Amino acid sequence: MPTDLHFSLMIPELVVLGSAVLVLLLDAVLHGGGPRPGEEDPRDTTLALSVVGCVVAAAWIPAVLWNIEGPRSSFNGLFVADRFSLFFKLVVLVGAALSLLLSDSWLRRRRLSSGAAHALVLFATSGMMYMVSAGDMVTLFLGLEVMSIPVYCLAALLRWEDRSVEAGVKYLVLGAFATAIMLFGFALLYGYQGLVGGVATTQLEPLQTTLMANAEALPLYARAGGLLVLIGLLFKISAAPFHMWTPDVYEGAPLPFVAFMSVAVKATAAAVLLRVFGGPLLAVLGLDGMLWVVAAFTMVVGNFMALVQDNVKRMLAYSSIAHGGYILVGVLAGSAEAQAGVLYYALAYTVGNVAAFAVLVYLSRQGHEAERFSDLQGLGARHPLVGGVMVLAMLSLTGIPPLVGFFGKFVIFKAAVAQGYVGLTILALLTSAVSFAYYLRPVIALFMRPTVGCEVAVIPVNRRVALCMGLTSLAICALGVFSESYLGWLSSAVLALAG
Amino acid sequence: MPLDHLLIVAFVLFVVGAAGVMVRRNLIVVLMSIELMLNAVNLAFVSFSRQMVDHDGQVMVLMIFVVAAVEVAIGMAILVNMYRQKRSLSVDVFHSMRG
Amino acid sequence: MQPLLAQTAQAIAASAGQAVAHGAGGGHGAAEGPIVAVAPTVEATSLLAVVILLPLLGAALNGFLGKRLGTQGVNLVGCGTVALSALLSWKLVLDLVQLSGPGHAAGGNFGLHQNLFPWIHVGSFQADFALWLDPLAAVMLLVVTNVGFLIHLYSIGYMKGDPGYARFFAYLNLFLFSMLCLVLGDNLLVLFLGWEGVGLCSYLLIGFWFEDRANARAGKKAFVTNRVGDFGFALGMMMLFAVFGTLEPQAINQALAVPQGSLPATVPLWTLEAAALLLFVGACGKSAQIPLYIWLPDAMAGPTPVSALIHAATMVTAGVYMVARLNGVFFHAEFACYVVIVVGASTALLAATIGLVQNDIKKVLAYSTVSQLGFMFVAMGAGAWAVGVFHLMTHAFFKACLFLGSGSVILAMHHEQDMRFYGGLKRFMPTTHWTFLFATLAIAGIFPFAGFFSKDEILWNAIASQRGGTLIYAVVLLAAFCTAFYMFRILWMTFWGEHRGVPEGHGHDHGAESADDDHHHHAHGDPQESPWTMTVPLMVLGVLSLVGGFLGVPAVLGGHFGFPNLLHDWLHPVFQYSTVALDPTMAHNHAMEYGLMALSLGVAGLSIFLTWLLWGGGKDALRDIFAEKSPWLHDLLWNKWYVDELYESVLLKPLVFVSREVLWRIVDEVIIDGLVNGVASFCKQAADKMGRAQDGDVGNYATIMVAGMVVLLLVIVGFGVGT
Repeated sequence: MPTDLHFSLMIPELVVLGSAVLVLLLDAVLHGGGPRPGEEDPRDTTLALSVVGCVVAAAWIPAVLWNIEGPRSSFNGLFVADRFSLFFKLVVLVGAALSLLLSDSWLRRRRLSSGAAHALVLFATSGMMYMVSAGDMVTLFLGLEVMSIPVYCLAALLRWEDRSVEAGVKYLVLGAFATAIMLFGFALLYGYQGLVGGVATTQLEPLQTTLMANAEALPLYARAGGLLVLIGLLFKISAAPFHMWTPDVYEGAPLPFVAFMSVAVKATAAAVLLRVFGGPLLAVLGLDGMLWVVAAFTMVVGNFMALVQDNVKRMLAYSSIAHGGYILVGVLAGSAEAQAGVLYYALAYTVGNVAAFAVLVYLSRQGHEAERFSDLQGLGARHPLVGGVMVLAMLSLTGIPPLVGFFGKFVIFKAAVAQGYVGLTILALLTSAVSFAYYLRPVIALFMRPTVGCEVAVIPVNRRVALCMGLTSLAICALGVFSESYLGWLSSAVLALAG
Repeated sequence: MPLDHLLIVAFVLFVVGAAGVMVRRNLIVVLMSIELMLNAVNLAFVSFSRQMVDHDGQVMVLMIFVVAAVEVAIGMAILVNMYRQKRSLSVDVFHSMRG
Repeated sequence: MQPLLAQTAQAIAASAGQAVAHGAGGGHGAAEGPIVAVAPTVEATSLLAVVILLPLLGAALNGFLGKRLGTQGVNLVGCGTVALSALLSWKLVLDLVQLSGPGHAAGGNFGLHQNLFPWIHVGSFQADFALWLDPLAAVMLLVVTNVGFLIHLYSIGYMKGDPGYARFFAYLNLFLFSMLCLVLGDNLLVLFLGWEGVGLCSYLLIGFWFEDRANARAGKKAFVTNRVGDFGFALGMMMLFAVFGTLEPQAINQALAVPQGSLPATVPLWTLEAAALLLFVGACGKSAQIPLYIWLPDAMAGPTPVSALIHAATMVTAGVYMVARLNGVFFHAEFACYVVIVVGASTALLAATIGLVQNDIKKVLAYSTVSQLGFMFVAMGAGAWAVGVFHLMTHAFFKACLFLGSGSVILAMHHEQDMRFYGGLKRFMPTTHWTFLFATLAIAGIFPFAGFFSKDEILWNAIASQRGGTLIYAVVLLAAFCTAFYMFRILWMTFWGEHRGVPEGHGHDHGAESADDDHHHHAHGDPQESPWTMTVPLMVLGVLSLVGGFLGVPAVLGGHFGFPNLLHDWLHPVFQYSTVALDPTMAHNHAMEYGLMALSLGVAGLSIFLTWLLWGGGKDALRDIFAEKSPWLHDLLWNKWYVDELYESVLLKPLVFVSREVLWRIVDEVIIDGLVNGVASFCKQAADKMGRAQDGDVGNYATIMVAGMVVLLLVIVGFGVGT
């Protein structure tokens, strides 16, 4: 019977879960479909509740948990609330809150019940939070599924639309397939830990210790187990050749939730990659060469395929694959600096990508998603601020200083060079030069093409989307310019990982 | 039964399941194949657990059972929607997004 | 931060000193015994940030509120912020002059420093957002803010009534902000920020009139060419960081303040050579040198003030400035310097010869800019940093003046840029004519105009420096000959002679205006002189083209009269440890220097005389004499000595062949189109192949995953336990 039941470490997760359940109940009680005459719009209530839940959970982390005294692991090692996991929880919560703000107007314009969708986002968020805190295969797996299943539902949310359902089915089938692969890897590693390590357990830390201790003579099945687990995670981060689902799902899924999936799922996968395979373990398992190939392949596939897309969502999907490749470079380099770079990159990617999606949501109207490049034509002149946000987002994602995206790339590449991955870094630099070409396309469409048709009338400003755009563009600039102010956080987060 | 034999069965089951996902066209069969893979995982966990007289593996198996059930439930819900639209459950009707 | 810099610098310098003391110093360069580099004198300031942020504020206001501000508001914000910035920069430079006393006493470099905020500290890597104003940056700062202000003022008149008026000023202000980051950045990261920023603004401004497809393409070309260069720059930067552990040019130069050939053991020479070559690739992109020069002529698609500010006076000189900033690296990298000087001289000649026969007035000036940048790189390659910076400055004056003058003409001629339709404009636009004449005399290198001093110094260094040679000198002299020629050709074709005017039906149809006007000369009415906002900048720049050279009077001329080489002395602290000595046989050969000076003046004079014969009154005067006696001579003269044909067949065809068929093919079609179209089509094919896998079939996706998994498993098995 475990004696260390520190529920207080879990307060953010419990807050998010609690608000998810409340939102679901309220939605049922309050007729989420729309306001009755003379009543307050229930959708405002559920949105407020969801966002407040995220914000409270997020605020709790720096306010209390970051500097908490005493043990940071709980439930017999199942749950670890070290600074590393706390950082990623913050990133995930920020991504979730911003996506919630985005989704509201989008859902209303389509007369959809927002409560269920918001609850799904919150459930998925709690899954991600458990996943980054996992100290055990069980929590890792449960977190993964609590994250994935709501996300499958979100992809298929528009159940009367072909593409949305198609996205949901593809995501579900391939996601479950990848999970099965990962679980088989866990089974092998569990067996290895029991047979060689002496103490049979599903905990991750003893397993890592055993693997490191027997680095010289790892049996094939242990290494294969490591590989299978790695593949499961590479699927979630959509690394080539396990990326095939990404473009289809992103294209089919509802716009605001693509933002959520792309940033939060990727950040979570990066966190788990670092926790499970961080440091020298990758090389011990003999997986570093393989990860080199995967990272290179991912950057090439993502960037080159993004070049030829006509659909902005699909372009962003491929570019998100490419960003996964850059994150893998950091994971591969493995030094403390590289890990800090990955954390940085996750944050940079989150704000940059959400900003881009916010602009797309802003420009979408009922029955007309802003999806093609031609949908953006000439809007920069009419909405200079919105266009400006898009420019900022694209420049940050490309990696232009002093925006936050630049430093993410810079730190990772520098660390990779320091670890001797010069060839991979040159490839990364070249491919990111390629990314200029496609990231400029929305900018060109916004500012350098005449507006087509006059039906693109003035779009009424939605305050929530505007807030989202404002916050993200502020973050893109401020996090880049004042990176020093929070880099200390990153370092201490990485130190927590090292032990 | 020695561990090796159990593991070989598990591996074969896993490969059969994976092959099913790859080649079968009916999505219900594909979901069943995934279940097969998960069961192979369960078998492996249970075998190790029995060999080492440890409960952790069995806990994991219970969790996998639950999650597999949830996955199937969600999968079926989505498939129902798909059937309403397409009047088919074949993988082949899914080609609207590509490239 | 600053103490840290000083500490590292001292530590490195100390180790370098030891290396010298151990007898490693076999340098044939500055051989005045072991040098212990004096650390820079540093004083903190808080005004540098204001200089930088004012244009940014202007950009933000004009960009976001432009429509609400109205024209007057945009003018006030756009020009006002830059004017304040310029005034402040004068104040700062005066402060710097105050500091120069103690700085000189200690013998080290000196400057004002401001640390805005710690930017990024990761592991061993530290970079602050810090600004640094030393004598070198001061020269650039004054040029950028003041010439920048004049061009802003000019733009009020030039861009009048353009629908994108506010957007234009926003971009222009943003450009100045980026350029100031580039100039004042205390580490290469801030410099790189500016470097990327100016590239972006240049791209936006070239494509400003984006309704025209060709303009958009020109913008794209500029952007992509610069990316090629930036790639080199980024790699060079990383290389320097790998060697020195810092990105601060001050610290790097300080670490390299040792005689040539006695580098500390921690700094292998080959890394410096490689870094210098990579950085020079970046400079080639930004400063339009062979083979990356091709974007600049196309960049003339942008509005003329943009050409003046970005593509003549400031941004394109960023490469030269960067080389001067990192003079320590280039001082030691002798081979890289040979590359620099050869590329510079070749570019100077190639572009000048192409300029000889262009008919578009802006194209001539564009090739002229490329050529003059080549001159600057000759100075850099010869190790005469101060001379290169001197020419950079004078060039900013006279080339900005020339571009603005051409803009004035273009506006008067209703956006006709073909010089064959000009002629006789002196009568209509006296101010433009006189200022243009001054600037032309300056660029042609006529005494006592600014260009005479700077160009002559370059020529002298091209032959007298240890890194130069007679061949380089000959090439550069020939380029100077061509320069005077094409510039006076512009004068003759544009301002002097008869006004030809735009024939009816040509190009720009302005509707009712030309309907029943049988004087097709005056289809648009007589050309008008431009408003004062345009002529005042012209006059200021014209005067600067006349007097700017006296800042850098060479010792051989000024020395007798006790007239110091002000610029040289001013820059001395920056370059003192890295100046390449002159060839000993030349160094004190004053007769030679005078002779060469006279030679270059003579060459320019001859060139001008030729243009007089070909386009000016000389032809008519001589024609009367020869017409009867020697008809063939008359024909010869009448047809301008068949010079055009001669160029065509002898000079231009081969050069154009080299430029178009070789450089163009390689750079434009292989690299640029390679990146834009080639890679795109390659990507299309590759993407098609990959896209075929991406067929939307879940089963296939699973199969690909499994295939990837199996391959990776096999890799693990294959490589065995050995890893």
